[in-house]
Amino acid sequence: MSVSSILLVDDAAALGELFARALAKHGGHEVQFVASVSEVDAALTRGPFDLAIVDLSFPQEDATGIDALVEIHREHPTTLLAISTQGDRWVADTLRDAVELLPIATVLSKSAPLDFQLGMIESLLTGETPPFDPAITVMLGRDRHPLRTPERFAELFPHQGHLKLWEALIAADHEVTYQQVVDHTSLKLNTIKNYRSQLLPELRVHGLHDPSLRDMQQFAWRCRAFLAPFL
Amino acid sequence: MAPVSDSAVSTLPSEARARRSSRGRSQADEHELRARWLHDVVLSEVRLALLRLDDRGGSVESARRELVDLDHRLRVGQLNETMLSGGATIGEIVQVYVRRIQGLGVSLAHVTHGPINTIRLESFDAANLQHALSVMTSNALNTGASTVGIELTKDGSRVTVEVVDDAGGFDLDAVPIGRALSNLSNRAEYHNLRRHAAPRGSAVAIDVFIGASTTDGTECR
Repeated sequence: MSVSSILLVDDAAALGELFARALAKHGGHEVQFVASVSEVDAALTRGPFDLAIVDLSFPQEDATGIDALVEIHREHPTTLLAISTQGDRWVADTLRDAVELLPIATVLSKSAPLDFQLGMIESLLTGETPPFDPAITVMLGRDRHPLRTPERFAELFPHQGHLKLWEALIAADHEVTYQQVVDHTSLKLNTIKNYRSQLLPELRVHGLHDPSLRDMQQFAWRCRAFLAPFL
Repeated sequence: MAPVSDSAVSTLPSEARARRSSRGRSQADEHELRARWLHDVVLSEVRLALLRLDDRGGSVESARRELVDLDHRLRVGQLNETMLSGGATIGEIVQVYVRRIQGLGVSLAHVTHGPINTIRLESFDAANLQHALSVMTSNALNTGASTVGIELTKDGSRVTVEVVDDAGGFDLDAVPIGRALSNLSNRAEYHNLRRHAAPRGSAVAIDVFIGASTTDGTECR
């Protein structure tokens, strides 16, 4: 078994440290553990890593695991990407976006027995492609739209006004209202509603069917890393 | 920003004071509910696990097994609350039993994935599907299976659940009346409980009839 370098990103610090120790003990791997997305940038200066294992939910930060995964992939495209998650309904949309838009090598279920998780990681590091944990695949559901790629996000900005709309959705507090978007963009209410309507066909590519403004805001927050190049 | 002083609060108009007071009460009520829930559900389950450990004696393996059981009971409780809050997707229901099988160290041969898992069932239908999965997976585990698979298909208002295992099979007609498996066929929502040979084992299947309250794929919105 060869030694690999692993970056582990998980906000549950105690669990993360124990898991890091198990990885080091089981495979002799060198594990760098960070407990927040904001620490990933600094950790990457100590890379590149053979594998990054990233949690999806970081409720204490204005970020998700997708932000960390995109940053890792951009900095070191050869690093294998794995997701470690409970896979509950609260992260199902984030999980789908990550799996559909990034080269995720596998998804681990945090609830699976430790030996099972370690086995999946070892297969990954020896060049195999272990299937996603079955407890996670049942939450993925739909098939990816064939046109859905990170580059496709450009189509969500057909006009300068749409850019303002996305910026407003990202900047707004929870439970965004049309009035907040009006205040942020200085656009008229009907203009904003028209912009939303114009985006509806394109949003179907991303799995959103007639979304509310709030749905669009959640999508923008989850996929901020893919929208960012166009903002 | 300067902190809001008590005197500043007291100068609020009476309507605003009432709103604030109401908000404070609802937050307090919410905390009270959470405290009750922790006491009634989580802590009582932990207490039960500790008592069972004391009763059985404490090897690491028995402690692990007890924790797996505790995890399952809490996840079933979580699912029940989810279902009562307006239903659950088929994927959410199946996930609980996939975790259970994994937690017990039993291999998973196959679990249906794909769009069927995004079908949202209303509370009643979700509970019926959950019950069928609970009985059928427990049956496979209790008969000593080392590999279990779960297959689900939907045809109109019928969801067929099939649990495949390598435990060697059994005679369905010989299952004593009153046992959970035989009780499944006595309820109107369940039809056609059957057993057949499967590659490397046997399968038990049942049709669960769901109402008109099902929506397809809405979770993805």
